[in-house]
Amino acid sequence: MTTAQRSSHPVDRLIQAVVARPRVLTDQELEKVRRHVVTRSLDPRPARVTADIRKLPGSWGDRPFATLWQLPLGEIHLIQRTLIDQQWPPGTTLPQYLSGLYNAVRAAAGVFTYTHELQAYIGFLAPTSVAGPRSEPLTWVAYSGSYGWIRTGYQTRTVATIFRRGFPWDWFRQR
Amino acid sequence: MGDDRPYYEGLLGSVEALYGEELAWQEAHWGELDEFMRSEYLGVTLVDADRRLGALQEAADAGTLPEDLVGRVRSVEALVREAQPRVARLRDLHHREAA
Repeated sequence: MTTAQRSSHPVDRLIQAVVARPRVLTDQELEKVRRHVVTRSLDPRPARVTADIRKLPGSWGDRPFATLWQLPLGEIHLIQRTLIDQQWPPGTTLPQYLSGLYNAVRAAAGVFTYTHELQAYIGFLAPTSVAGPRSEPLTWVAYSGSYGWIRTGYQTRTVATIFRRGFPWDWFRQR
Repeated sequence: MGDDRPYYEGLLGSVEALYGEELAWQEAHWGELDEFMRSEYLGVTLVDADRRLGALQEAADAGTLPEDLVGRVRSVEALVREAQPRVARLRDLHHREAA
């Protein structure tokens, strides 16, 4: 197994420390975290396109879904959110999708820190500002302070539906 | 309801693929994946699949799911349930190797 690059950025180290020893972030610290997260994206490395996407009818750009094997992670997530979940409007671009996530990070009144799959996370929950065919009222953005990448962003009805198969054991409400 | 069918079929197809073909691929290639990509499947992709299954179950319970898709939802529930020991094995490997 190769090892992906862990982040040593000061703000990411702050997130790691707050997850390791849970405490409430000060307003100043949280503002610093928000400002940092809105400069980050999803990991741009090419990743394997998931099997559900390859079964979609039609094409992505000029390439049929069935022939897609690798795409940047952000594009994979964008296809999931626009075509499968239908939470963002069809035709949403990656910069538009990310911009919607950044708006959620800035506006989030719900902020949570937790460990998920061995990583230190901070999550932001805000009213949804981008309406797709199947929009939900809230937008959830999960940022990994361990890696320094936004890991996911999707819409959800309530806090309770962020995770369907149990919440992280150290789920900690910051705000 | 007519417009909802492709959406629900898309959710069903996604959960089937992510707990079926995708899980088999992950098992076969687990040793080649780095920690980040392993966590992408365990901590992001499967969370998506579980959300989609939850949406389907709610639609079935609320009676908004086309009737002929209810049986398929039950099959997908069984697929997901039966896949859990395999997912747990991958998670255990991931945690042990990262420790």
